[in-house]
Amino acid sequence: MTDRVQGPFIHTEKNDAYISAVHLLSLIPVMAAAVVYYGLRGALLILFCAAAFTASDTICARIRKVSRGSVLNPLFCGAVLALMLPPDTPLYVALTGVLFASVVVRQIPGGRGASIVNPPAAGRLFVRIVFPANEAALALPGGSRMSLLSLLTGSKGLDDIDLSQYSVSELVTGRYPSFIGTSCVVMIVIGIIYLVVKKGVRFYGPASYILMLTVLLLVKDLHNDTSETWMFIITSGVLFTAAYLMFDDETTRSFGMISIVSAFICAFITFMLSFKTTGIDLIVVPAVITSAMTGILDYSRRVILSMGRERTNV
Amino acid sequence: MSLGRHNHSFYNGFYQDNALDFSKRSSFDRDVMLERVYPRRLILPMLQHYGDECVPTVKPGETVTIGQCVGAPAPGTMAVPVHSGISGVVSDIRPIVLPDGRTCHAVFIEGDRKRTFHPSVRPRNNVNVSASTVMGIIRDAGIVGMGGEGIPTIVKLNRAKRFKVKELLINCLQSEPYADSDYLMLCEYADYVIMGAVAMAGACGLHIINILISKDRKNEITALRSAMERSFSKYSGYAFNFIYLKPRFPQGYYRMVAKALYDVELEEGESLESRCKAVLFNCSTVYACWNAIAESMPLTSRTVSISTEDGLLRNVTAPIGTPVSELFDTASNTFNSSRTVIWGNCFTGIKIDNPDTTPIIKTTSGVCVITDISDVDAPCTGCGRCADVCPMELEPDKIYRLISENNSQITKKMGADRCINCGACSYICPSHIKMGAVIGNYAAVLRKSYTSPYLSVGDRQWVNDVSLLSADSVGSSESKKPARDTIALPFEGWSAE
Amino acid sequence: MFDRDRVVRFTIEAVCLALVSVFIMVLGIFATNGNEYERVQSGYYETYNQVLEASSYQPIQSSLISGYSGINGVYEGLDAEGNPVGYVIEVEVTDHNTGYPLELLVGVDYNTASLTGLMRDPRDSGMSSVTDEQIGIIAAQTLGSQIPVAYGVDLQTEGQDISDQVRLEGLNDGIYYAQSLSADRSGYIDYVEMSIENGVITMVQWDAFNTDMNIKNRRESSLDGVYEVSGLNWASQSYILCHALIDVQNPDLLAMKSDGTTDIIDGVTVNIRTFCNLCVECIENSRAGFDKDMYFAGLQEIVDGLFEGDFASLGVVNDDGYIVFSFDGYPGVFLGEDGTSLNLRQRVTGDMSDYSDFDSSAADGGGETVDGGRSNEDGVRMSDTSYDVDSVDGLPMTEIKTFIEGIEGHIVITSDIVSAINTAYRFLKDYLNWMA
Repeated sequence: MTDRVQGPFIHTEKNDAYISAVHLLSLIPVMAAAVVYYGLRGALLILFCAAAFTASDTICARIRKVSRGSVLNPLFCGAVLALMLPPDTPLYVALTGVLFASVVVRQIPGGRGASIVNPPAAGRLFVRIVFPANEAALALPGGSRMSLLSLLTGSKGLDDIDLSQYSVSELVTGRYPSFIGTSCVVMIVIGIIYLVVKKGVRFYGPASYILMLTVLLLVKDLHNDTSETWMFIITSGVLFTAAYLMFDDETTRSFGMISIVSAFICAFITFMLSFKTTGIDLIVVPAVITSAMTGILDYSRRVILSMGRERTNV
Repeated sequence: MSLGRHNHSFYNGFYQDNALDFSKRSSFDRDVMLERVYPRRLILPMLQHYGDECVPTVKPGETVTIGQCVGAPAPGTMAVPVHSGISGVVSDIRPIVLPDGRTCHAVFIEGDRKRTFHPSVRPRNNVNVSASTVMGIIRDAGIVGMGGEGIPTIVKLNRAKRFKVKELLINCLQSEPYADSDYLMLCEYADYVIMGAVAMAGACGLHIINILISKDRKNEITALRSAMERSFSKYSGYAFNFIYLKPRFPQGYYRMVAKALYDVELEEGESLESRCKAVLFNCSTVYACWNAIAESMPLTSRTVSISTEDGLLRNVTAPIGTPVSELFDTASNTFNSSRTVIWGNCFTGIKIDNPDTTPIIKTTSGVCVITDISDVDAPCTGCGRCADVCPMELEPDKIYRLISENNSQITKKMGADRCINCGACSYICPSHIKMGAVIGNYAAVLRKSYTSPYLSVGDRQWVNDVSLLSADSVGSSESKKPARDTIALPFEGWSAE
Repeated sequence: MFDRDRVVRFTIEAVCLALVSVFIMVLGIFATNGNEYERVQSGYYETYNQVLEASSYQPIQSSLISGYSGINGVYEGLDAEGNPVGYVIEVEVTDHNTGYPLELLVGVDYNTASLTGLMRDPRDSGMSSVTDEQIGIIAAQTLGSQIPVAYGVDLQTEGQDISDQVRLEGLNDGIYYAQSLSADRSGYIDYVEMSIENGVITMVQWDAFNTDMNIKNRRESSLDGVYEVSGLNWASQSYILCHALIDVQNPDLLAMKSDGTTDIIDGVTVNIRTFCNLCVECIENSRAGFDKDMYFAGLQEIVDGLFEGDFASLGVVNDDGYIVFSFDGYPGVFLGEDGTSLNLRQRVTGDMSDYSDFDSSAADGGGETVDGGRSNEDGVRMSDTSYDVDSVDGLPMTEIKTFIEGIEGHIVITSDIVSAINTAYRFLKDYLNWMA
């Protein structure tokens, strides 16, 4: 060994802070939709979750005496988690999800980069399991924009939301009761475009996921009304999964064959779940399962490559 | 001449974002290119190649001229001669440590600013020389692989003959950011490259010459085509092909070439000649060969890219041995030596502390001045970008973690020994983790057990046939009969004793 | 983390993204407004058409609604030409049996002020004990009738035989009035107004105005939730008590205990001592022929005498015409020469005749035992059954348009549902200036 200082002496411009910033900025359209539709409580819910996630990550990193990395990443994770919550979610419920995502999912396994599953998705799933009643804390978009009471007390929410009552334009613009950031596909698509253009994520994975899911749904609906397929794509929140949960490059990579295989698996899980459940399950469960399987895929790929090399050597 | 084949690269399957395409980052100001540097002094290391150190042939106080041999191989060693690039007086001969850690003697020459050439340096009247003559010229001109590997060119030529290779490959794939010296040389001396390639092919008995280049290099391709047309009558019987490869780092590395062109993954101990029946030369090496054949000029200077982060990008032709500080003095009046100076290019170079005492050598294609990178205080995010760009298809993040945990068994299984230390992983890492150097050094330790293809017993014996290396040829009367049938080289008449 | 150029660039991108997003959002909202209106109207129609037939329904947006206790929302029903046909009011009352809220939809016709529909709000939690069937019973009794509504039998309309009632002797017909001469701790001055027809008490109203004229009277305050008592709100208890008195005709039969409460009237938990005293004073005034006008004149005279000035300039008459004056600071005003306390009539007329010594006679020989015309304290009951009394929720009896029988055996539930109807009426009256 020598004490020579070796190259490279330059680095890609797309460092951690850059990528995190792109991720965070890509959330602006969906956050705008959340604020426009749900007013102050939507904005405060996002800010609270982002701040809480950052504080939790910072404290845990200091306790473990390791680097937390760019502050923009926990801000992004917190915001993503908030965007998957119903608008009338009380803050203590949101805080529970944030702490689970930050402490249990991210920090205990070893901090940033060591998560087994996507932290916001896991946090949201935890909220769904621990506070099942909170899933109904939905509200009509555009109503009670200045109300903040639900952040403290919650809300009993709406019953029997029948999406068939809504027009396509309302569904596309997210003007129906749903989670604050997952309903407006127009805004999600703008976010995806920004992500791809700025190279915050590569499009192979998300595109493969949506494509595969569409094909599966079309096959299912082949003899029925195929409009159900498009309705599902628009209203189920799978675009949000594709943009912000599945291909975070932390638990699921957005490049190469692994991304495509992961996308196919995620699409298949989503497809199977669509027979059984709706709501947040369709958004987070496929992401959680697939991100957990990524490690297995990586290992399998390595084994295959290793076997190939050994055969060549022989 | 024939049409080119298209868009090869070292990835065979799914093509990723070309994160290592730096072709857009090497635009030079053509008006100031190829300045010639006349340094006040030279520091000529006796070890500028892959092999053994030369022995100085001059003494302090002795006067030397341009093209004069100042260092020659000791009998039985793998080495090539070293020549002076300026005229002046030998001021000192003492050991120095090169930036890459090797220690050798160096001849210090104070220039007399007269630019006196050695009498042997003169244009050759008749370039129709025999194959053995070409081999002799190349050997005695001290030409080595100028792309960075530093292997004596004569060794590769001999290997090519031994393995009966079918193709001669001209490597025009310089791909490090800011490095442009080869392309500039191609534009300026395309005729030399074409003729050099013909001469080298003829020396090896080959008829197929493939030029490996990126399709983006339109000016260089045009220059080469024009040179081919001008020289067509001189090389009938030789077929030139353009093979286009994607511009990406480190496409020019011989293993990447093997992968791209022949879909062959060279294992340790294998070479292009033995496995792919092809021999690869850098275009600057080819130019140097023809320069030696046509001008009788040994390898005394080379084109060097000088780049600074404030936008200065300049190519100069500098005598080998020129101190780095003098290069910058020529290139820029505002050079601030307090900044970080890189000996080599910004990917594979080495940081040097004293540019006044560090010379450029035969394999130095560039020097850079950069601002120290502020480290990003971020952990590995597991993004996998390093695995994405690794030309050897390793998983640097995982290997780096295993090395940190001293888990050597799994590390080896994961192919850590195959790392070529290109630095692509460190470059692409969003967290700026310097894993490349760690894995590269670890791989070097693992590879110590391997035998270099150029140092194997068989090679040595064969190389001896051209009186370059083998101990058993020393003293042999036959070996004392080099093929110096038609030309007189600068070191002709010199005796190792 | 970033150099300045990059920060500027990201900032510009963020602003552009935000602007583009908001622009598209606004466009989307405009583009989908029509769809939303139709869908919302469809939702309204599905629900509200059951209580008010209209072509469309328009929510009334007013901050007053959110501040109005018991009103969750108000919708104006419009016909095809856009003319108002009525209102749908989402009312929330407390089910006093369980303490859970009961949410009802009340439909009211715009022109006739009659009830067009009454049903449980689909968003009601269903936690209350009130069943849809019980709501249906009340609805059947009230549909098409004008509101407000009171439960119990309208004495005059029903033509109930007065002789069946326990009546007091010597009462003169007319309207009689008495008010406390001092304010309570909250500044309220209680008053009782009593109508006597054919020697029978037919109407009793017990309320209190405040010495601070900016404060509503106690009945309204209790309905607004400002004045709180245990059990039913004070206004309801007041009316239950008043109608109990109408039933028994004699305040002594209300079985007031020594602590001022009574056990025999369902829903009444407040202290009724002041009420009883004022009722007795009204009855004495009736016997003495000292009616309400005389009472006011006498009171005015006394106050004038205290201040020796122009009564009008004193500013002691509130908007409802009551003289708001507490004699707490003038203890000698109502003391007789022998030191005995005088009431206002005695103070004005000097008539010290004992009108309180009246006898009561029970109808049909009397099923109940009355001891010397006065009930025993603590536990004397008029009958084995509780009184079935009706409620008008703070609305003057004169405003009550409809009397219903209610649900037999479920006084509290009837009271709660009627309260919802009347809350809707009060809202329309108070805040929409409806029927003005």
